[in-house]
Amino acid sequence: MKSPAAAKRKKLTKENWTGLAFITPAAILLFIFLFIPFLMTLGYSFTNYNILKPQAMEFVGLKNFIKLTQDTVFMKSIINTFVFVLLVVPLQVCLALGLALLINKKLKGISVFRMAFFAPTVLSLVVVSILWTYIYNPNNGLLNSLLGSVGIGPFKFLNDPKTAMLCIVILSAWQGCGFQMMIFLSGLQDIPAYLYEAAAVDGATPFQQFRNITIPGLRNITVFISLSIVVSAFQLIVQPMMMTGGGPQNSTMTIVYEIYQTGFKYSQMGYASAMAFVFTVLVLIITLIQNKLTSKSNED
Amino acid sequence: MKKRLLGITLAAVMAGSLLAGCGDSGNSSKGDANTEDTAKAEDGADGAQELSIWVHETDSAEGQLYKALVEEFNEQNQGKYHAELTQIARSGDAGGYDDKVNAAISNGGLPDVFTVDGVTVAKYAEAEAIVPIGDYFQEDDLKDFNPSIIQQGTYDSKLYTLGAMDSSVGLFYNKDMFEEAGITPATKENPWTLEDLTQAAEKLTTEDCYGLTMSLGSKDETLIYFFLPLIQSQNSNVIDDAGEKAEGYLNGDAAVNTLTWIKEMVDKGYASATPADNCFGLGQCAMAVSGSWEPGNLAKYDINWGLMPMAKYDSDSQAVSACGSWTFAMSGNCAEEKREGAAELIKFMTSADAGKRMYEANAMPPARQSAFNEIEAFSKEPLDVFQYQLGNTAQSRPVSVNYAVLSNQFATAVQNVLTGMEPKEALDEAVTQYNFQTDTE
Repeated sequence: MKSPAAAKRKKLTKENWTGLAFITPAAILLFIFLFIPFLMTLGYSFTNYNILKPQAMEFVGLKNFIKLTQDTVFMKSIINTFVFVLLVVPLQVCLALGLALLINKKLKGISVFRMAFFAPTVLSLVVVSILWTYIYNPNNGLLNSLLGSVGIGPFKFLNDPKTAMLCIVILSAWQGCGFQMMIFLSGLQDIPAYLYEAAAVDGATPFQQFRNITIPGLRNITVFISLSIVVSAFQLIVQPMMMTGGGPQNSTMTIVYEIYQTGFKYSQMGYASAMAFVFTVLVLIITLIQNKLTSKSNED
Repeated sequence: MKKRLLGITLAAVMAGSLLAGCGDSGNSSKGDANTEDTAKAEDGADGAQELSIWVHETDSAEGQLYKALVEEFNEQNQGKYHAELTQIARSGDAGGYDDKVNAAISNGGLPDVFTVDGVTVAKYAEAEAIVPIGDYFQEDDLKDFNPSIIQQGTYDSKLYTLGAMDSSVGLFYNKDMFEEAGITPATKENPWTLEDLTQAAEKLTTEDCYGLTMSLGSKDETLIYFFLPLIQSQNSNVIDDAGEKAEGYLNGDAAVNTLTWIKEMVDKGYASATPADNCFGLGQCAMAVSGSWEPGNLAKYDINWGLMPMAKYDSDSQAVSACGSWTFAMSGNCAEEKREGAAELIKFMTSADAGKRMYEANAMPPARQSAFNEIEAFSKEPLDVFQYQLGNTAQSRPVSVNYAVLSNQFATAVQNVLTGMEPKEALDEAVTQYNFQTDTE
C-alpha cells in the first residue's frame, strides 16, 4: 500500500533519473575539465608554486594577491582586455549583421559570396595573424600602399601604442564575423516573408522594414551572438602573441597572455593562478550582469 | 515505459561513447608521449640497460640525425645499453617541447637524457631537474669543446650540459654593393666598430635599399641574442655575475649605449624597425646582422655575399660574438646505476662525428674544435669567420635562473625604444619589471 504522495515522489524520481542520465556526460566533463581545474587554480593561487619545482611548493597566504595589486602590467592588461571587448563586440555584431543582410538575397552565385565571407573563420587564427602582420607592415605593407595611393598615411599600425589595439580589433572582427553571419542569416530566413509583404503593402520604406521587422525578429539571436563574442573576446591571446608580443609599451598585453607568460614562460604558476582566479571572477561578474540585463529585456 | 527505456539506452550509449572517447584520447596522448617516432629495437631482451632520451626535433634533417645517432649508439652498445628515442614536436622557440618537459618535471616522468636550450640550463639546474655531468668526461675531451659551450652549460661552477652544435652571429654583406660603394670589409681578426658600421650603413643606404637589417621586427629571444655581444663588448652585461641582480646592468651605461645606437640607426633611416623577410637576400638591404642559419637561406637567392665578424662597440672595447644552442642534459630522474650509461649516450650524441653530421644536416657550426677541423667549409671564406668567433670571441648569454624574464624584458625594452621611448627610460622600466617579476629587491 503506497500513499499517493510517495508514489508521486517515486515517479518524479524516476523521471529525474532519466534527466540526470542525460546531463551526466556533460556534467562529468564539466566537473573534470572545469570545476576541478578551477579549484586547483584557487588552491595554487595561495602558494608559491614554481612549475619547475613542484616539490618546493609552499603556502604563502595572500602574497600573490597583494602582489597583483602592485602589478602595473597586469592592471594595464585588464584595461586593454576591456577596451578590446568594448570595441570588438559592437563592431563584430554589426559586421556580421551587415554581411548577413548582403547575402540574404536569392541571386545567382550568392553562395560564392557566402563562402568568401565565411572563409576567414575557417582559417587558423595564427595564420590570419601572421597574414595581417604583412598587411599592417608600416614599410611595405599592403594597407599603407593602398592608403598611400590615395594620399593618406603612412601609419605605423602595430608599431604605434595608440593604434596597435585598434588594429587587432579590426582583424579579430573580420576573422570572427563569418561565423556569426551564418547565425544571423538563419535568423533572417526565419522571419516570415508575409511580414515584409504586409509592410510593403502598408507603404513602409526598406529602412522602416529593417527597423520594425528585422531588428525585433533578430533580438534573441543578437543577444546570443553578443554573449558568445564577449566570452571569446575576453580570451584574446593569439593575435597579440603572434603580432605584437604584447607591445608596443604593453598596449596590447591582455590578461590571458599575461597569465600564460607568467605561468609557462616565467614558471611562476602560483602567481599566474592568482591572476587566473581574479580573471575568472571578473568574467563571472560580467556574465551575471549580462544575464540580468538580457533576461530583463526579454521580459519586456 | 518504452520512451523511458529509450531515454536510458540513449544516455547509456552517450555515457559509453564518452568513456570510449576518454579511452581514445588517453591512448593517443600516450602515443604522443612515447613517440612521434620511436627508434625501435629489441627491448632489452639481451639484458641491455634501458635508457630513454627526448629530443626537440622530429622530421627535420636534424631530427633524422638524432634518430640515426641513437640507432648507431644501440648497435655499438648491443647487450650493454639500449636507448629509446622520443621526438617531440615544438612550435617557435620551444613551445610544445617545453610544455612536455615542464609537465614531466611535475609528474616525475622525465627521461634519462633530454635536450635543453642552452639558456635554460640554469633554471633546470636550480630546480634539480638536471644533474652535473662533468665527472663523466675526461678533461682533455672537455677542452675540445668551444669555450662558450662549457660556459653556457656551467651553473654554480658545475658542468650540466654539452651539445653537438653551436651558433654564431656575424655581419653578412652584399659584395657587389660594397664594391660599388668602395667599402672594404673587416677581417675576422679586426672587426668594425659601431662607428665604422654606421658610416658604412650611411653610404650604402639608398632610396630603395637600407644599409643594414638586424631583425628589429622580432619580439623574442633574437634581440638579446643579437645585441648582448655589443653590451659585453663594453665589458658589461645585462645582469651581475651571479645571474641575480639586473639593476645597474640591464639599465647600465653599456646597455643604454647599445639601445641608443639601435635607435640612431632606425631614426636616421639606415635600418628598418620592421624589416621585410629576407630583405638581405632580395637585395633590399646591403648588410645583415644574422646567424649561422643564414647561408642556407641565402642559397635560395641570386646574391653575392660575404661575411664579417660581429662589430665591437668602439676601438677601446673587445670583440665579442654570440653563441649557444641546444644541448644534452642528464635528468635528475635518471637512476644512479643508469648514469654511467646516460653519460655514454651524451658522449655519443656530442661526439666530433655528431657535430660534423649536424653541420651537414642544419648548417650549424659544431661545438668541438676537432669537428671544425673536419669540415672544410669552416677553414675558408666566408664561414671561417664563425669558426674564428667561436674559438676566440664568443661569450655565452647569462647563465641565470631568471633568464626568461631577463630576455623578455630586454626584447620589450628594444621594442619600446623603437616605438618612441628613450633608451634609459625603457631600460629602467625593464629593470623595474624584472625586479617585480623575480621578487628581487
